[in-house]
Amino acid sequence: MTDPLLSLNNIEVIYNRVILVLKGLSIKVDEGKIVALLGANGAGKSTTLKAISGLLKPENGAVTDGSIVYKGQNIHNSDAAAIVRKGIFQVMEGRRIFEHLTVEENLRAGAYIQRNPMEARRRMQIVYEYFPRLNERKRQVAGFMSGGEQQMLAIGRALMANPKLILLDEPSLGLAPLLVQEIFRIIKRINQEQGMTILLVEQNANIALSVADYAYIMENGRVVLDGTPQDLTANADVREFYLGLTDVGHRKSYRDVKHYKRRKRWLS
Amino acid sequence: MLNTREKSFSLQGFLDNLQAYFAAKSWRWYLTLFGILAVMAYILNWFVPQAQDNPAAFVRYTYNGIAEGAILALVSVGLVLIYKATDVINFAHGEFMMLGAYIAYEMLVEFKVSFLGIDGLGLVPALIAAAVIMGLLGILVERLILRPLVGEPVISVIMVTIGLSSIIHAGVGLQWGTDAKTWQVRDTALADGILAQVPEVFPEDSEIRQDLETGAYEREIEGSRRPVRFQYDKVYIVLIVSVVILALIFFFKYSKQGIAMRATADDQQASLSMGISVKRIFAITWSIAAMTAGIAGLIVADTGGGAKTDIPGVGLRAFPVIILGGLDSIAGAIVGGLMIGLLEQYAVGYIDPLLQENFASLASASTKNVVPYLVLVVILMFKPYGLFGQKRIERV
Ligand SMILES: Nc1ncnc2c1ncn2[C@@H]1O[C@H](COP(=O)(O)OP(=O)(O)O)[C@@H](O)[C@H]1O
Ligand SMILES: [Mg+2]
Repeated sequence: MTDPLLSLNNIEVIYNRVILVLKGLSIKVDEGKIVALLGANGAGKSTTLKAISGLLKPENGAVTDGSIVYKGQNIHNSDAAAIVRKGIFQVMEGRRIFEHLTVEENLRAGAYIQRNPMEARRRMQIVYEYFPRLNERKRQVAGFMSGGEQQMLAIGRALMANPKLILLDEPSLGLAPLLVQEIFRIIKRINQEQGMTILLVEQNANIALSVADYAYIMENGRVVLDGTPQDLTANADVREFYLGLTDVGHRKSYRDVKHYKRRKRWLS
Repeated sequence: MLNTREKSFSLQGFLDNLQAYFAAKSWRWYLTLFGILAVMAYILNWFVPQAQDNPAAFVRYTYNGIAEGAILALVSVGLVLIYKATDVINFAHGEFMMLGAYIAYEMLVEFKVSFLGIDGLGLVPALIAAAVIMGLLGILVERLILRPLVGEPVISVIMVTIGLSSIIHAGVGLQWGTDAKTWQVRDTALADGILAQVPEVFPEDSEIRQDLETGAYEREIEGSRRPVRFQYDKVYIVLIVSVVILALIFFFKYSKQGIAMRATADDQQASLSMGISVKRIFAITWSIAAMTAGIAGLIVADTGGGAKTDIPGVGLRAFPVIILGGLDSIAGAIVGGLMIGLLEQYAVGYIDPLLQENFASLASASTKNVVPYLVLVVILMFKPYGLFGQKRIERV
């Protein structure tokens, strides 16, 4: 077996020197794959991505234990800019587009690490191929665009940097179901056509599992379950608490008791 | 879309509309506006000597106001840049201006620089030297004084800039003393050659005649006829400020670092996530701010009695400008600068004589420094964040 592109080994993350958020988390991301990281609100998914991309520091967080290995290199001491240059690009939760800049300027900001302006221009064409709507609106101030368009722009900005690994934090957040499907189709295409590896954080487990090659479920700063989407969708707990499906056939009283216990485990 | 629709007329609604209107304009639009104003002033200039009385006076005040406003705009742009990037108000900005003036003095008088072999054009290399040296100084200040303070409360950084202003003041006093350091380059400049043939733009008196033989304009002063000179120094102010602001606009609109600077002002963490070095952005910001301040200081000294230690007072006049325009808006700094400049001149031209004539006790009244603040207070009652200032875009 080849080494994974990225591995997090037993990492511990502490905010403000006291709040322990990740408590020995381990995940692996193989090259060329889409790996999903699922979990309820507050589980520590975004913290995991920020630990990888070096964005904890401005939030007064730090990796205090374990290691983050990318292409055989320890990266958890690198600063954010160095990590972007190594080929890891995080699309932050809530899109975080530059509101007062136009679409095109947002994309150019995404290409900040590209030294060659011709390459930046070429990449912009690639972005416009995936997101024709951005092309139509390229001179528009980004803050006035719809949520879906802003999400497209956030992903487009990542493409501009030509990363090896994209960290996508909740691309479905606040978007209408049809739009979510459209965006995930494009995410899958980017993964296949551009050969970019994607670590995908989602609360919407249904849609994430539909595109992922492998998935981790985390809870309270730890991984509690992992497997292929097939394995996970077969798991009764996952079906109930993450996919919103209920298996029929249980007796009601028994189910209620078990439900309470399981619920406590998943969501506490 | 901005929510600007209002049924009945209200000043708030009107200003909101105005703001939406201006916010939707591109940099090129502002540039054109600025250019048109400059050209208008210039053209009016040219034709007014023949006109008598008040229309000419109005144009003269407008012309002076635009020139004064251009300087204020240049000073304010630097303050706004620093505020946008770092949330810090730089209280050493006026001292940066003063340093620019002393650099110009050193170049012109001590080093006697000239340009294209003409002594009178020494201002060009002096200006470049002031810009370059101040740019480097800005980087130095950021590196040595402000970077160690990253993460500290903004108020401590502001206190440090106040300290810095005292240090610069003391240093200038030690080096150059407290007497004004003047230079007289423009008397030997092109003016004598070419521009002497051009009529003075807005003569204080209208006794201008054209000599039918030579075509030169003359006027009677104390019984003798003298050629009138074109007051080109104000045109050169507008010209220099336009060039600097144009350069800034291009920088922010098209260069990678300029776009990165605006991105950082919008969302620092997001720009970190794309590999933008926020440290470098801060350094560039301080560099540009110090550079524009230095150029402004040079202009103030050149048109107002040389390099002296009260130049930072002009920097203080920039504070109402940035509050009027909105602390975080560059367009606001430009429009605000022009507005305050014009208001000051109209106050001098219309309000002061009125008070002086009608009230014996106000024989030496000067409202120049009061009127801008009055207008400021009124505008802030309706737009607490200034005309253009607003951090968030609200989608409806
Ligand atoms: N900057 C921060 N300072 C302190 N605590 C934080 C910070 N960011 C996140 N946390 C805490 O860490 C936990 C995990 O947050 P997060 O990683 O954002 O979860 P998720 O993305 O899974 O919703 C939450 O309890 C949250 O309150
Ligand atoms: Mg999150």
